[in-house]
Amino acid sequence: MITMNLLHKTKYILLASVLWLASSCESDFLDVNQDPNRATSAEPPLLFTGALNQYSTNRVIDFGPTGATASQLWSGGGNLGAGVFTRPERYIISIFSNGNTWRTHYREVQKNLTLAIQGAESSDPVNNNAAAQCKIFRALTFLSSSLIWEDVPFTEAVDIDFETLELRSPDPAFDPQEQVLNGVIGLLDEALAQIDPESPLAITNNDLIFGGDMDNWRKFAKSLKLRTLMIMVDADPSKAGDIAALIQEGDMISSAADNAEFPFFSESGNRNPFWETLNAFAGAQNFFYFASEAMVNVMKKYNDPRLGMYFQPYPGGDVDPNGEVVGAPPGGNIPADEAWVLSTAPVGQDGTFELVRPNSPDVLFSYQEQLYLEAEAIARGLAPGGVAEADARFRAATQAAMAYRGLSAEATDAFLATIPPLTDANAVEVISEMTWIDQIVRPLEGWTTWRRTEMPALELPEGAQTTGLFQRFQFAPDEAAANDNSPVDKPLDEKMWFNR
Amino acid sequence: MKNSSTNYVAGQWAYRLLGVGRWLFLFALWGVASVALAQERTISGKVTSAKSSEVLPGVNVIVKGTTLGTVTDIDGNYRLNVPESAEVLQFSFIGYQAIDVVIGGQSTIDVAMNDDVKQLSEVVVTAIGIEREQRELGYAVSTVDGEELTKVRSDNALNGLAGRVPGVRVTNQSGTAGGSVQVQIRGANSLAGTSQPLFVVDGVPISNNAFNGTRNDIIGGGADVGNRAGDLNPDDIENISVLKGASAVALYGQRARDGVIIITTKRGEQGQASIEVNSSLRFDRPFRLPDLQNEYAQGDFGVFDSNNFTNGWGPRISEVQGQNFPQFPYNGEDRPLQAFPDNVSDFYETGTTLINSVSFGTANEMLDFRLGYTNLNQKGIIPGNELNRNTVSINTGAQLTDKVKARASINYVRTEGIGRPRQGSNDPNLVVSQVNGLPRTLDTELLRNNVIDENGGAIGVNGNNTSNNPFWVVQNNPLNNRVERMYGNVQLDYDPTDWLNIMGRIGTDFFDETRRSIIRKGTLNRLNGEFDDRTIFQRQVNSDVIATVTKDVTSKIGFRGLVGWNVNQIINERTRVRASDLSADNLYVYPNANATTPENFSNIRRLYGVYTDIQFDYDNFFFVNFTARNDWSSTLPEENNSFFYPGVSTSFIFTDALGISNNILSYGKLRASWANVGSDENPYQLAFTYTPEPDLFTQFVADNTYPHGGQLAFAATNTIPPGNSLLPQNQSTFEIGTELQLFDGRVGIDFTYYNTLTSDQIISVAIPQSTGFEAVRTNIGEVRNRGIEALLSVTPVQTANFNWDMIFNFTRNRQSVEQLAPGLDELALTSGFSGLSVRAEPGEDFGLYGAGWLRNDAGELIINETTGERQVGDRQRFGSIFPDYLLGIQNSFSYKGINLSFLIDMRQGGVLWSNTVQTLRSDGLAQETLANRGQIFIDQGVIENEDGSFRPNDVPVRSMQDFWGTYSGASIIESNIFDATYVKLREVVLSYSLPQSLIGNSFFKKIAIGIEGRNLWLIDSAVPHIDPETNFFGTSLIGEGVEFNSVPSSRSIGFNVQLGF
Repeated sequence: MITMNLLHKTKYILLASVLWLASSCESDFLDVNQDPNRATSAEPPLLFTGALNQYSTNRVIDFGPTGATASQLWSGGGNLGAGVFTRPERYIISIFSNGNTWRTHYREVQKNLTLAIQGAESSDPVNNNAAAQCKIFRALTFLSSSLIWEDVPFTEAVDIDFETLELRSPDPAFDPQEQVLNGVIGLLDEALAQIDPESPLAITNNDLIFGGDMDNWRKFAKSLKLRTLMIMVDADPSKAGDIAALIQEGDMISSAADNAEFPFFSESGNRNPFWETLNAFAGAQNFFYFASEAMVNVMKKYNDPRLGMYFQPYPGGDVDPNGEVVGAPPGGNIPADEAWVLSTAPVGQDGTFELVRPNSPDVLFSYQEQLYLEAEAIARGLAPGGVAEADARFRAATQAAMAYRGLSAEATDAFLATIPPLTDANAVEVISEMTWIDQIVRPLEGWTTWRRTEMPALELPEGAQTTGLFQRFQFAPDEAAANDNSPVDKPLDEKMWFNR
Repeated sequence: MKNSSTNYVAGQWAYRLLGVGRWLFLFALWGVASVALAQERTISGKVTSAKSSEVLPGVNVIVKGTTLGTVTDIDGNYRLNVPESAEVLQFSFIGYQAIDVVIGGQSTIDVAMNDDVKQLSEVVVTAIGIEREQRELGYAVSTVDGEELTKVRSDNALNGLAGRVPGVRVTNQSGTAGGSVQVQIRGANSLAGTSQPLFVVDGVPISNNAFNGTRNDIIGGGADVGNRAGDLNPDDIENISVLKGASAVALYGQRARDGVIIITTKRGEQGQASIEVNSSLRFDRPFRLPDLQNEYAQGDFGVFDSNNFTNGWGPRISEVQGQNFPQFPYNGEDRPLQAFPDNVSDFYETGTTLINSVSFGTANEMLDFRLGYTNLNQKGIIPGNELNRNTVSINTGAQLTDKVKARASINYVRTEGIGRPRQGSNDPNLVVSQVNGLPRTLDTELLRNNVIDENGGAIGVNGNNTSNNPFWVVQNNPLNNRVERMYGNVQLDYDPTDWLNIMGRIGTDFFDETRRSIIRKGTLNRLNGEFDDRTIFQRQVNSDVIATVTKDVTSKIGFRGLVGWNVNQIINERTRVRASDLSADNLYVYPNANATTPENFSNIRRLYGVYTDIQFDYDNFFFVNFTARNDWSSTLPEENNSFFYPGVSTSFIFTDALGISNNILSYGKLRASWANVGSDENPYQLAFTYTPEPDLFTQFVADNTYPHGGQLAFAATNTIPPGNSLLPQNQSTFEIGTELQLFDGRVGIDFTYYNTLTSDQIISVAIPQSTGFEAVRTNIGEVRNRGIEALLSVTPVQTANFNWDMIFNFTRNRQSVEQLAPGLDELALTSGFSGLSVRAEPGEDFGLYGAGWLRNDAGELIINETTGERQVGDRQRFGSIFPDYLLGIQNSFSYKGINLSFLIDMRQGGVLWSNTVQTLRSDGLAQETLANRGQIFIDQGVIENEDGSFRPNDVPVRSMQDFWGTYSGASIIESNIFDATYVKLREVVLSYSLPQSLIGNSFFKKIAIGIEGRNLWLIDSAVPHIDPETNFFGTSLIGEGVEFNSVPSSRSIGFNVQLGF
């Protein structure tokens, strides 16, 4: 009996398992390939936050120290510092810093903003302001790419049919810098024309720069146009007219409140990675970013009151904090008991102006930069007004710059009183050197200001791999390897189109 | 080693022995009781070989139809108490034909046993658990007996395959306790991932998951967390079958593309209830540590520097005697310099491994049952690194009726890894590189005794307190993991008639792993502390229903055919929480962290397939076999999700067909096969998707996290998906081979040639990032592997008491990339360190690529005129990452009960790049950096003249520090590429089984003791300073041939006691 039962049961078990197998043959059994971890669409604002953060984070910590030490805004500190910061000073550029920057510009920013624009323009109603915000940021990024690598993909970048997933340009061509920069201006004009002040639609909360204020975006876009034209004007003097017209028209960044800044926050995980690096490695003491001889010398030349604010003694040494600030020679060593570093701790009057803070924003465009550009344009006769007007804007710019670092108005006035009125002979030199000093923690702008004007005069670093000064990055290895249209690399010291 | 920890180890051991002893005692009582019940009359006798008249020890003698039995002793004698009712004695022994003898009135029964043609009629387990005789098979299958795995016990059963199976390459990935072991069968086939075989236990696939995060997680301070095949317990394994080619694996379908390792677990054996106890104690020391200089202190250009000291470019110690210097622990007391030649070695501990297993088994005609328990406790050579594993296995079967059988097996494994050391770069917890880089003047004892200062802060090893004391790391920053795993299956067999069998089997394998990586607050370079938790869950369910028909067509023609149905489902679930910026010290809960980043992930894949296997044989000497399978996969586009693949194989025993049987050639077989295997894609690769970003990459420090300023972010995919055009991959294999037995079976040859082409590979091809993407996923690329496998077994000496057996095991695989995507010259398989990459290039096998020295057309080094140093040139290929061939030579000698065997393992060819060597050289710590210090040195090479001609170099280098800094710098690969050839004495075993005459009437059935050694001697290697057998990438990443601060492998010596009751 028992065995018979078992036999019967076995049959049923076998039958049941066959049935289970058979049922699993239904087509929906295999219909489980929808990804539960990712979305099939994303709203433009969500793509916008990511693109902006990627861009600024890269600027601050990946491109940042490399660009700053290679252009002598800072020093890597030789033996005292870390190799990752000293090598770029001798023009040995890490393939990671280089590749990460390229990847950020194209894979993170250009692609995601292209998709966001597509989403904004195909939504109902069309979100023109969102598209304009994305285009302005795309223009800023293309400008940055070209200032780092010169000729870069523009017209054929991110050229894909998102319906069929076919790449229309599988090997994007590298457009000449002139074409890229004209393209940047074109993209800015397109965005300016698309801004719809009447529409309530825009990227708002996810716009961490202006919170969706389209007046600010308009001013920022115009200021970016001015910056781009000023970069182009040496190589293409026909841009002078556009510069004059823009300055005439105004409506650009016109106060510190208009500054375009991507914010970082004091909360862990959202901090400025430039500060976080010091925090993680050395308890927020600065062992890595040193005062450069070039910067210190220029500041001493003007007796710049920011000298004691920008720098503090190297924490691993035994330097008199009231002693004379000494910068490390480019590419060389400095003894621990003489070295100064970028300031991380409040030492000045009100403790708000140290260069490296957990919540230091990434400054994309500042009011003082606007004024310095206007002063320079006027001083060079690119816009009307003459040297007296240039001097006035130069002083306004310097006041804005000093105020930005927390220096009192009295101290600023006292400093400006020591600077004689600008003359035709020295205006450009003084303006560009003061711009350069202001841009100490804005490496791409600082490097570009120096490349445009070649002031201050810099010396070739010890151990440099070239005979000339640093002008460009070589193409990112991954792009060069994969793109059949990638041009042959030019020497690191060969000037770009814009300042040839 | 410190006294306290020695005592601790000894104490633990004693404790565990006590624990085991209690069990032993209980089981012993039970064994004695069952012996006492069975006494009635005594039969004795001697068993000999009919052919040679030699005595045969170890022959099984049982009363037929009962569980009552014994084995013959070393002199071939046996003595057995049998009940009056006993009628027949059965004598059986591997390699001999079993004999039944009617007892009648005899009290002495001597037996002469005839040879069976050993191995050749041996039953092997093939795909889907089908048992076949070796002679029927048209393809190569290798079998390793479970006993081989427990002779020299390792924490990982896969180590037992090393050097024993032709066509199989076993590589230890690191010296971490419980580290992973990679198995590769017949070369790497895939351009897209590792080529790891499928593991099958008792007919059901199990996981060999080696998930270790992203590539960045692994190269930036990841630990070797092991692979799940390491959960297999060697003591529970009856045997391992290795299926190599497509023909062998076709019935398993796509998952078996890279071969199959079939594991059959032990069952209870007919005879008396038995208890087996096996205890091993093993000691480990680092196998190879760097050869370091002991003449120069830390510093720069001959000047002492206690701050920036990870180098040996300071003053010559002998030249600054009489002077005092600030040294660790920097308490203000300056001391003279003194070299501590053993300071690196002193850091490592003597590892211990204690393995205790006990099993209980019994069987009769109705029921078999086995229960096994094994405890493994291993302490690694890195302080604090420990592995604990407990395994319980039950395997039981029952004949329910004369037509129905049931079987079930279940295995529970708990694996706990503690303090797994980090490897790679960019991590403050890299212990091995830290220890290698210690100043030659630093006493490890001081380091050990000065971990924290009076305020509880970490004391850095260098003067400016930026480098961690390795003892701080091992004491405070562990990376632990724990796996709870169960796998098993149930099976029902139903035989409605004598020619039809219907079998249903369902099995599951699931595990839950938790990992925690801790960086304590105060750790230099990560001062705020952080911890990173992961959970990993995987479950696989697999079922088969198979109907088999076995029926002779005529008296000469036999037929066997089966049809089967398979359903498989695998789900994965993972979570991760990274918590950083801790408030309270030593508290690892999320509310104590100022930032936490949670992530979760899950996927599912399903597949079903139908398959058939049809075999005809003619007169038991000619066999032909057809296989076919069709799979439907959830991961492929609906229109392409079905794929069919056929195969055919044949075996021809020509000695039987031609009636050849003589002393020279006793057995000869030819075999040939061809088969196809298809395979699918990973889940969710078809559609264009957007990822909610948990964080974004930041160089140097922990990534920034979302929300940022309260806002979330999404990003579109970086790989252009294939959409619905994707096709399954295909692999086809052709193989031929022969098996020969010569000279009375004293020489055996097994030879195979195979040729495998894997095409339509699904890979992500890199595209320019200016497209906005980095890769496009598509079917592209072909990789061919062809090679020979040869096994030669020889018995040079065979006498009554003494035997000498040799086995030569030769494997040669030639891989070549046949094609990549149109217009794609090479494909980077993995890269990341200073331009070093593993690449595939048409016409070549996978190779190491990186910057070489600048040379002129004549191949001479072009020297920099200013510095006198070499210059970095373009990227070039340095050679294959795979060996030209592998050779294992095993010798075993047995004299009475004493057995001595040793295994020599050799790898010829391939290249290896070592970061450890690079660093030791540029830091001036390697022995070879002593040459020419303080002297004028002119490197070989030429200087380019202005007119483009060359003159011999006459510029001395500025210093040897400059020379080595460039020669072994971060931007050059060529100088630290080495030929990866090695010859190793892999194993030595000396074992002794006590003869029955000694054991006599004690309750022991078997007593065997052994001494075992593993990884004993690096006989030859071109790689300096490190064990050439390491692979930093582990089993989850494609690529090998790279060493990157790997944990040193160990040399072990152990003792083993086996008791049978």
